[in-house]
Amino acid sequence: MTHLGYLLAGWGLSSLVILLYAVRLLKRGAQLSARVPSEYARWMSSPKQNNG
Amino acid sequence: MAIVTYLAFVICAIASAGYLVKRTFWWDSMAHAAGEVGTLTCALVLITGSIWGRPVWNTWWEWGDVRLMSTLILFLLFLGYLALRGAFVSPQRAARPAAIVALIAVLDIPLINRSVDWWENRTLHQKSTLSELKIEDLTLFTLMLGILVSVLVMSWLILHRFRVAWLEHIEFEQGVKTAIEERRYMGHGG
Repeated sequence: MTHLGYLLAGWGLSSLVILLYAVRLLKRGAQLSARVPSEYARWMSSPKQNNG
Repeated sequence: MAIVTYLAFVICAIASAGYLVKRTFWWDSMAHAAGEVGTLTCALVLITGSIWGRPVWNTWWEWGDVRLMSTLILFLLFLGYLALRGAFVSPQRAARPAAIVALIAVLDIPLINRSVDWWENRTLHQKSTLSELKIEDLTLFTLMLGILVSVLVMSWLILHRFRVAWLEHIEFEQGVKTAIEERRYMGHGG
Protein backbone atom coordinates (compact mmCIF):
# COMPACT_ATOMS: atom_id res chain seq x y z
CA MET A 1 0.00 0.00 0.00
CA THR A 2 1.23 3.51 -0.80
CA HIS A 3 1.44 6.34 1.75
CA LEU A 4 -1.67 7.82 0.18
CA GLY A 5 -3.47 4.55 0.83
CA TYR A 6 -2.63 4.66 4.55
CA LEU A 7 -3.65 8.32 4.66
CA LEU A 8 -6.99 7.65 3.01
CA ALA A 9 -7.59 4.61 5.23
CA GLY A 10 -7.05 6.72 8.36
CA TRP A 11 -9.24 9.61 7.22
CA GLY A 12 -11.88 7.33 5.73
CA LEU A 13 -12.18 5.21 8.88
CA SER A 14 -12.34 8.25 11.19
CA SER A 15 -14.94 10.00 9.04
CA LEU A 16 -17.07 6.87 8.77
CA VAL A 17 -17.01 6.09 12.50
CA ILE A 18 -17.84 9.69 13.48
CA LEU A 19 -20.60 9.86 10.87
CA LEU A 20 -22.18 6.59 12.02
CA TYR A 21 -22.02 7.70 15.67
CA ALA A 22 -23.60 11.06 14.78
CA VAL A 23 -26.42 9.38 12.83
CA ARG A 24 -27.03 6.97 15.74
CA LEU A 25 -27.24 9.91 18.18
CA LEU A 26 -29.70 11.80 15.98
CA LYS A 27 -31.88 8.70 15.51
CA ARG A 28 -31.89 7.90 19.23
CA GLY A 29 -32.67 11.54 20.05
CA ALA A 30 -35.60 11.53 17.59
CA GLN A 31 -36.94 8.23 19.03
CA LEU A 32 -36.76 9.54 22.60
CA SER A 33 -38.30 12.88 21.63
CA ALA A 34 -41.30 10.99 20.27
CA ARG A 35 -41.66 8.96 23.50
CA VAL A 36 -41.47 11.72 26.11
CA PRO A 37 -44.28 14.27 26.68
CA SER A 38 -44.18 17.09 24.14
CA GLU A 39 -43.15 19.72 26.72
CA TYR A 40 -39.93 17.79 27.27
CA ALA A 41 -39.26 16.91 23.63
CA ARG A 42 -37.34 20.10 23.07
CA TRP A 43 -34.68 19.49 25.66
CA MET A 44 -33.45 23.06 25.88
CA SER A 45 -36.86 24.20 27.11
CA SER A 46 -37.26 21.41 29.70
CA PRO A 47 -38.70 22.62 33.00
CA LYS A 48 -36.19 23.32 35.77
CA GLN A 49 -37.62 20.78 38.23
CA ASN A 50 -36.10 17.98 36.14
CA ASN A 51 -32.64 19.44 36.52
CA GLY A 52 -31.48 17.25 39.35
CA MET B 1 -7.65 13.63 17.39
CA ALA B 2 -5.52 13.03 20.50
CA ILE B 3 -5.95 16.65 21.63
CA VAL B 4 -9.71 16.33 21.18
CA THR B 5 -9.66 13.10 23.22
CA TYR B 6 -7.78 14.77 26.08
CA LEU B 7 -10.21 17.69 25.96
CA ALA B 8 -13.25 15.40 26.09
CA PHE B 9 -11.83 13.48 29.07
CA VAL B 10 -10.94 16.70 30.89
CA ILE B 11 -14.54 17.90 30.35
CA CYS B 12 -15.70 14.52 31.68
CA ALA B 13 -13.50 14.90 34.79
CA ILE B 14 -14.62 18.50 35.43
CA ALA B 15 -18.28 17.49 35.05
CA SER B 16 -17.67 14.49 37.35
CA ALA B 17 -16.19 16.78 40.00
CA GLY B 18 -19.17 19.09 39.43
CA TYR B 19 -21.50 16.14 40.02
CA LEU B 20 -19.77 15.15 43.26
CA VAL B 21 -20.21 18.73 44.53
CA LYS B 22 -23.67 19.61 43.15
CA ARG B 23 -25.23 16.13 42.78
CA THR B 24 -27.42 17.22 39.86
CA PHE B 25 -28.31 15.29 36.77
CA TRP B 26 -26.92 18.02 34.49
CA TRP B 27 -23.32 17.43 35.63
CA ASP B 28 -23.66 13.66 35.48
CA SER B 29 -25.11 13.81 31.98
CA MET B 30 -22.35 16.09 30.77
CA ALA B 31 -19.72 13.73 32.25
CA HIS B 32 -21.36 10.75 30.57
CA ALA B 33 -21.60 12.53 27.20
CA ALA B 34 -17.98 13.73 27.25
CA GLY B 35 -16.76 10.33 28.50
CA GLU B 36 -18.49 8.47 25.69
CA VAL B 37 -17.33 10.83 22.93
CA GLY B 38 -13.80 10.81 24.40
CA THR B 39 -13.73 7.00 24.39
CA LEU B 40 -14.79 6.95 20.75
CA THR B 41 -12.09 9.44 19.71
CA CYS B 42 -9.53 7.63 21.88
CA ALA B 43 -10.27 4.42 19.95
CA LEU B 44 -9.77 6.35 16.71
CA VAL B 45 -6.48 7.75 18.04
CA LEU B 46 -5.19 4.24 18.64
CA ILE B 47 -6.41 2.85 15.30
CA THR B 48 -5.41 5.78 13.07
CA GLY B 49 -2.11 6.08 14.96
CA SER B 50 -1.46 2.45 14.14
CA ILE B 51 -2.33 3.03 10.46
CA TRP B 52 0.04 6.03 10.44
CA GLY B 53 2.78 4.09 12.25
CA ARG B 54 2.93 1.33 9.66
CA PRO B 55 4.43 3.39 6.78
CA VAL B 56 6.37 5.78 9.06
CA TRP B 57 7.81 3.44 11.73
CA ASN B 58 7.36 0.22 9.81
CA THR B 59 5.23 -1.25 12.60
CA TRP B 60 1.52 -1.35 13.39
CA TRP B 61 2.05 -1.51 17.15
CA GLU B 62 4.93 -1.42 19.64
CA TRP B 63 4.20 -2.89 23.07
CA GLY B 64 7.25 -1.21 24.63
CA ASP B 65 6.25 2.31 23.56
CA VAL B 66 5.23 4.22 26.69
CA ARG B 67 2.99 6.70 24.86
CA LEU B 68 1.12 3.94 23.05
CA MET B 69 0.70 1.93 26.22
CA SER B 70 -0.39 4.86 28.39
CA THR B 71 -2.92 5.84 25.70
CA LEU B 72 -4.19 2.24 25.58
CA ILE B 73 -4.54 2.32 29.38
CA LEU B 74 -6.52 5.58 29.11
CA PHE B 75 -8.84 3.96 26.57
CA LEU B 76 -9.34 0.89 28.76
CA LEU B 77 -10.00 3.04 31.84
CA PHE B 78 -12.74 4.98 30.08
CA LEU B 79 -14.12 1.80 28.55
CA GLY B 80 -14.40 0.57 32.14
CA TYR B 81 -16.04 3.88 33.05
CA LEU B 82 -18.74 3.33 30.40
CA ALA B 83 -19.15 -0.33 31.41
CA LEU B 84 -19.62 0.76 35.03
CA ARG B 85 -22.32 3.21 33.98
CA GLY B 86 -24.06 0.49 32.00
CA ALA B 87 -23.91 -1.97 34.91
CA PHE B 88 -26.49 -0.05 36.97
CA VAL B 89 -30.20 -0.07 36.12
CA SER B 90 -30.71 3.37 37.64
CA PRO B 91 -28.47 6.11 36.17
CA GLN B 92 -28.53 7.92 39.53
CA ARG B 93 -26.87 4.99 41.29
CA ALA B 94 -24.11 4.81 38.67
CA ALA B 95 -23.29 8.51 38.83
CA ARG B 96 -21.15 8.60 42.00
CA PRO B 97 -18.85 5.60 41.36
CA ALA B 98 -18.52 6.65 37.70
CA ALA B 99 -17.50 10.17 38.72
CA ILE B 100 -14.78 8.76 41.00
CA VAL B 101 -13.49 6.48 38.21
CA ALA B 102 -13.40 9.43 35.75
CA LEU B 103 -11.41 11.55 38.21
CA ILE B 104 -8.86 8.75 38.64
CA ALA B 105 -8.69 7.89 34.92
CA VAL B 106 -8.01 11.46 33.83
CA LEU B 107 -4.75 11.42 35.81
CA ASP B 108 -3.33 9.32 32.96
CA ILE B 109 -3.44 12.31 30.58
CA PRO B 110 -0.46 14.24 32.03
CA LEU B 111 1.41 10.92 32.09
CA ILE B 112 0.75 10.42 28.35
CA ASN B 113 1.76 13.99 27.61
CA ARG B 114 5.04 13.84 29.56
CA SER B 115 5.90 10.23 28.67
CA VAL B 116 8.02 11.22 25.64
CA ASP B 117 10.20 13.37 27.92
CA TRP B 118 10.32 11.09 30.96
CA TRP B 119 11.02 7.89 29.02
CA GLU B 120 12.55 9.25 25.82
CA ASN B 121 14.41 6.00 25.09
CA ARG B 122 11.24 3.92 25.37
CA THR B 123 9.12 5.54 22.70
CA LEU B 124 9.00 5.88 18.94
CA HIS B 125 7.20 9.21 19.29
CA GLN B 126 9.12 12.42 18.82
CA LYS B 127 9.38 14.98 21.63
CA SER B 128 6.89 17.82 21.80
CA THR B 129 6.91 19.88 18.61
CA LEU B 130 3.82 21.98 19.18
CA SER B 131 4.79 23.62 22.48
CA GLU B 132 8.26 24.48 21.15
CA LEU B 133 6.85 25.58 17.77
CA LYS B 134 9.24 23.41 15.76
CA ILE B 135 6.73 23.29 12.90
CA GLU B 136 6.69 24.97 9.50
CA ASP B 137 4.11 27.74 9.12
CA LEU B 138 1.88 25.90 6.63
CA THR B 139 1.99 22.68 8.67
CA LEU B 140 1.17 24.64 11.83
CA PHE B 141 -1.77 26.32 10.08
CA THR B 142 -3.07 22.94 8.85
CA LEU B 143 -2.68 21.47 12.33
CA MET B 144 -4.52 24.38 13.96
CA LEU B 145 -7.32 24.20 11.40
CA GLY B 146 -7.58 20.44 12.01
CA ILE B 147 -7.74 20.98 15.79
CA LEU B 148 -10.41 23.67 15.38
CA VAL B 149 -12.59 21.50 13.14
CA SER B 150 -12.12 18.47 15.42
CA VAL B 151 -13.07 20.51 18.51
CA LEU B 152 -16.22 21.75 16.76
CA VAL B 153 -17.19 18.21 15.72
CA MET B 154 -16.51 16.93 19.26
CA SER B 155 -18.62 19.74 20.77
CA TRP B 156 -21.49 18.88 18.45
CA LEU B 157 -21.26 15.20 19.40
CA ILE B 158 -21.11 15.94 23.13
CA LEU B 159 -24.07 18.31 22.87
CA HIS B 160 -26.19 15.70 21.10
CA ARG B 161 -25.08 12.90 23.42
CA PHE B 162 -26.03 15.15 26.30
CA ARG B 163 -29.46 15.69 24.72
CA VAL B 164 -29.95 11.91 24.42
CA ALA B 165 -28.95 11.41 28.07
CA TRP B 166 -31.34 14.17 29.08
CA LEU B 167 -34.25 12.58 27.21
CA GLU B 168 -33.38 9.13 28.60
CA HIS B 169 -33.48 10.64 32.09
CA ILE B 170 -36.91 12.18 31.45
CA GLU B 171 -38.20 8.91 30.02
CA PHE B 172 -36.88 7.01 33.06
CA GLU B 173 -38.47 9.52 35.46
CA GLN B 174 -41.78 9.31 33.56
CA GLY B 175 -41.65 5.51 33.75
CA VAL B 176 -41.05 5.59 37.51
CA LYS B 177 -43.86 8.15 37.99
CA THR B 178 -46.30 6.06 35.95
CA ALA B 179 -45.37 2.90 37.90
CA ILE B 180 -45.96 4.68 41.24
CA GLU B 181 -49.32 6.03 40.07
CA GLU B 182 -50.38 2.56 38.87
CA ARG B 183 -49.39 1.08 42.25
CA ARG B 184 -51.38 3.75 44.08
CA TYR B 185 -54.39 3.22 41.83
CA MET B 186 -54.27 -0.54 42.38
CA GLY B 187 -53.90 0.02 46.14
CA HIS B 188 -56.97 2.22 46.25
CA GLY B 189 -58.89 -0.11 43.99
CA GLY B 190 -58.28 -3.02 46.38
